[in-house]
Amino acid sequence: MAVGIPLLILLVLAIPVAVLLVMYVLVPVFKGIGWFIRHIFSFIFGEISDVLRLVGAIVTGLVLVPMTIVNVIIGRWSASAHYGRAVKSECKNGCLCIYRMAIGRPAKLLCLSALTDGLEKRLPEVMAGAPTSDTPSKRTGQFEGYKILGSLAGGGSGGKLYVAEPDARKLASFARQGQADVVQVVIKSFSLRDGSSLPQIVRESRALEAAKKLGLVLEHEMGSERFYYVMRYVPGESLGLYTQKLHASSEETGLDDRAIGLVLGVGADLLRTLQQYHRGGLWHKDVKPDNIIIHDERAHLVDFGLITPMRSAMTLTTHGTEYFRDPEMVRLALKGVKVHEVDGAKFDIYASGAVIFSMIENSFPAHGGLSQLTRRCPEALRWIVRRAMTDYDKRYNSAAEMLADLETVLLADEPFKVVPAGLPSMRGRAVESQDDAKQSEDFAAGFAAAVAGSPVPPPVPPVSPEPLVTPAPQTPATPVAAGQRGKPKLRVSDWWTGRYEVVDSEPPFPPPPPPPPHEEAQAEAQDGVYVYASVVSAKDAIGIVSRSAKEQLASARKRVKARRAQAHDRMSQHRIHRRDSFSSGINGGVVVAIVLFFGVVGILGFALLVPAFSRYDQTRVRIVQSPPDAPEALANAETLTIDSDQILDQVDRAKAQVQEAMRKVDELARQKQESYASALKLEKNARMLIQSDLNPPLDEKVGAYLKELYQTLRTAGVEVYGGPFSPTNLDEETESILVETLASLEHARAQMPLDTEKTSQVLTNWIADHKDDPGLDLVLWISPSLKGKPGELPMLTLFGSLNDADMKVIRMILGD
Amino acid sequence: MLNSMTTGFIARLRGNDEAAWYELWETFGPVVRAQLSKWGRGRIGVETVRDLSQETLAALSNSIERYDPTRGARFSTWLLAIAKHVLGDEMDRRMALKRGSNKKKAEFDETWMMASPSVGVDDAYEAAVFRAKVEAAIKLVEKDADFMDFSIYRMRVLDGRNGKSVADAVGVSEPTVSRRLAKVRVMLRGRLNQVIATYSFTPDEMDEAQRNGLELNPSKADDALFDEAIAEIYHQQLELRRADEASARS
Repeated sequence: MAVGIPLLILLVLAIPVAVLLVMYVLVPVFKGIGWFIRHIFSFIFGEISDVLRLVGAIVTGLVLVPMTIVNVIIGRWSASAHYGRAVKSECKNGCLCIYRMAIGRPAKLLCLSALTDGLEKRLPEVMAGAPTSDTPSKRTGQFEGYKILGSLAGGGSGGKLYVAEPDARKLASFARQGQADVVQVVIKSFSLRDGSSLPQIVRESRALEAAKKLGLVLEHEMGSERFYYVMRYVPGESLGLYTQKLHASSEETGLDDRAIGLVLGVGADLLRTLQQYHRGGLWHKDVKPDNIIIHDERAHLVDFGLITPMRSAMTLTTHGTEYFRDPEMVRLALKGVKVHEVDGAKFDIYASGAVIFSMIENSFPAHGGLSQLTRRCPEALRWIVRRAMTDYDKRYNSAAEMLADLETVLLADEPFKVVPAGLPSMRGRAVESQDDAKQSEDFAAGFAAAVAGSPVPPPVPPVSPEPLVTPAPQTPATPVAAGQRGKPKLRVSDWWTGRYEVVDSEPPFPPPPPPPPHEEAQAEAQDGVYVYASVVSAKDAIGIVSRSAKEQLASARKRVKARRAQAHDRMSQHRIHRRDSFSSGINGGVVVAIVLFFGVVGILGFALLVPAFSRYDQTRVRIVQSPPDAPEALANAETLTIDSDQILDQVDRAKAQVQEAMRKVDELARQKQESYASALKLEKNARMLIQSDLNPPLDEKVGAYLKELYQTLRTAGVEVYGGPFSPTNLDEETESILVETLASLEHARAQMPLDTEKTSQVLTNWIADHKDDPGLDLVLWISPSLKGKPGELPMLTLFGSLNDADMKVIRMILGD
Repeated sequence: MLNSMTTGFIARLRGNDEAAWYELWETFGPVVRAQLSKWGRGRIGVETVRDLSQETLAALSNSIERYDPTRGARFSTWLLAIAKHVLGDEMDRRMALKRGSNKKKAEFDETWMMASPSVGVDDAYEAAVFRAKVEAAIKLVEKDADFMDFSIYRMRVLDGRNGKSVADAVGVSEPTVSRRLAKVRVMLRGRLNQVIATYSFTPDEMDEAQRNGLELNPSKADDALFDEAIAEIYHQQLELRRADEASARS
């Protein structure tokens, strides 16, 4: 009995212990064993299935290859292409099987899947996002006035993106449009010959005029087979990458305070830009992280492929990007609603909310407006995102309203303490922004109507209480509305009749130092061009006494000097901005790849070739002549030994003789040319400006011809500027004068054909205006030949005049 | 047994109303995609899954004409049958392509329309379809309700915050929070009734809400349970959407 009780207690205790042992030890152990067996078997079966697939791919490929060849032989090109694609697919499958057998499955077996993640996931992503060729194909052709620096990865629009540097003429032309700080540009090109389709071109070109008016597009050209437009290049990285970096440097729970501040800043920049679009009557339609570039912690919206005038009469389309496109827009589009029947700005606001969501969560809002922000985020910001992404009728009415809320959080000392009740939209301040939005809407309606060809006349824009885009320090690339600079500010006094009054006017360019004297005030500037007529009328109006010719000349010189200084500043500014330029050259990654490649090749080469060459490591070569089928004769074979140094000496002597002969021929040619050039000499030196319409790169023959022409003209006493062989050692001031003069010449000619009397008259007058400053006598216009065949000499058209004898010499030189 | 709402919706589908199709796609797309991915794992990629889910809905429109409500199949069963048929068709097409021959289009197996214990679907799928219906109802309420009311409901029920913090955040009193909460709850019940009626063919499906803790004609004591069930379904649906988005990005 005494033994029985402890035994019973022991038994009672042993039962739960045994149960616990089974639950927490045996079950996991058996589970682990089961997992291990499954793991091993899955590897074995995987390997077997891959082997079978590989064999299948090889067999199928072997069958398909002869079929492809046969179809090529009998000329069935489409069928051969079809079979060729099948062969390619089988090769790809085979390679994948080999990869899985050799690397993928063994790594998985050893629980090293993380090692192969890069190859299986990141590599295909990187390859898919790689830019296209660095230069446009021959089918696409060159872009006149731009030097292509490299290319960018294209999006889903079907266009090709090139980064380019405008030449001096283009820069001067952009400066005239009010876009003085352009350094590099992005050219988006669509070519029918290069695979783009007509609908793509039509879609992209729809709102370009409007985008150009807003200064978003610098230039566009539509040809019979090619269409391209030019935008400002914004260096930096996409918001998607930027967000990943922010999250990588923050904790798992979400972004830290500094990163939250950056998110708010990016959101505010985005909304300011959208506000500008909406006021201009446009709707971006494709706001997403990939279309936002971050540079110096400021956000820049790019890609105007889907930009749409809000008053367009077209039917709404479902274009856009999933997760950043409002589902309501898709619903309306499927119902066949017209663009002007909806408020496009609200769809941009939804996308802005989705962008901010993606920055906070580091993922896309998969659940639309019901998506949940789970990571660390101020309550007020969460509210703003929800309000932006809620139902179409209930979200913010305008970007301005959302911006006001966002700025409240951004400017708060402690964003996490701001509650939704403290936001302007909750305190009734939204009424102000709604009024503002209403005014903007009226303006937008008129603007877009003008753009979309609607009969509704555009109303006068309302006075903006603040600049459209708050200029940020160190953000030269922030878009500024073109054509607004220098225009008078208007205030509408009667909306019904459209009467307005001028409030004040900003000078088109900063006033030249020192402040202009009283006579300068007479010359009112309009769009940067001094108009003589306005000088006279202003003078009459204020009754100022006329000045002498000498004073006027001095004044004119002062103005010219000031403009030169401005041009010089602009050029210097360009040079400063080049620090952030696009570079398609060698980066760190490329260097590492090249070094690795050549290192491996070098080591292999050394290992393989050195032993082979070591047999020839002697200066004397022994040649043995012997009957191949008589080994016994080898011992008595005749041996011929040649001294290789002797051969090299002979080669050197022959080379020296050839060089001497060539030198004599060159000397004779130079003497002959000098005697010809001395006959072609001007009595009085002249200055010639050359303007060339030839597209780079020049044909070899044409280049040689023009080079000789430049040389002959210079020998004859003509100072030649401009064109493909313009002097390159000019000082900065001369260079800026040359650029300004060429731009002025281009402007004077406009689109007139060269061979008309009118053009001749206009350009002769232009030369007369520039005879004293900068002292031009002649203009030579080089244009492509009419047939445009490669190697054909260009057409030369001369304007201006000298004395008879000198003109005769010039004409002889030009071959006329 | 089709009710007037169901027949109205089916009439819109039959009339090729694209908005109705989009609605169907938005509501059941993730569920169908999840099911197709489960079946075709290792054999079909993400893009094919997306294509097949679209084809499933297209096939649904064609078979609506032939649907016989007297056989008693559930909506979820019907949807699944079509998805399976579409996937099988795709597999056959691939095999036929490999053989280099043309494939005759398969006939749709309409035995799935019959309620039969041998032709069942798994519970996880049934639950996913039901959750999709609840999600559709929440979306409709978001559209109908005042933004402030819905935000309060969202913060209080879906985000699980207490009444006081919600009141402080939006600058109203706690009783106001309760009042607005009740308002949205009533709307949600109404919309749930409507959605379930639209996408349900059998009495069994009609009672599904009650079985999942969503009493549609409740006493006051049921409100807390109702909110809890809605929050749980919402979070499960969030997970499904996240997985769907992650697979689309991979």
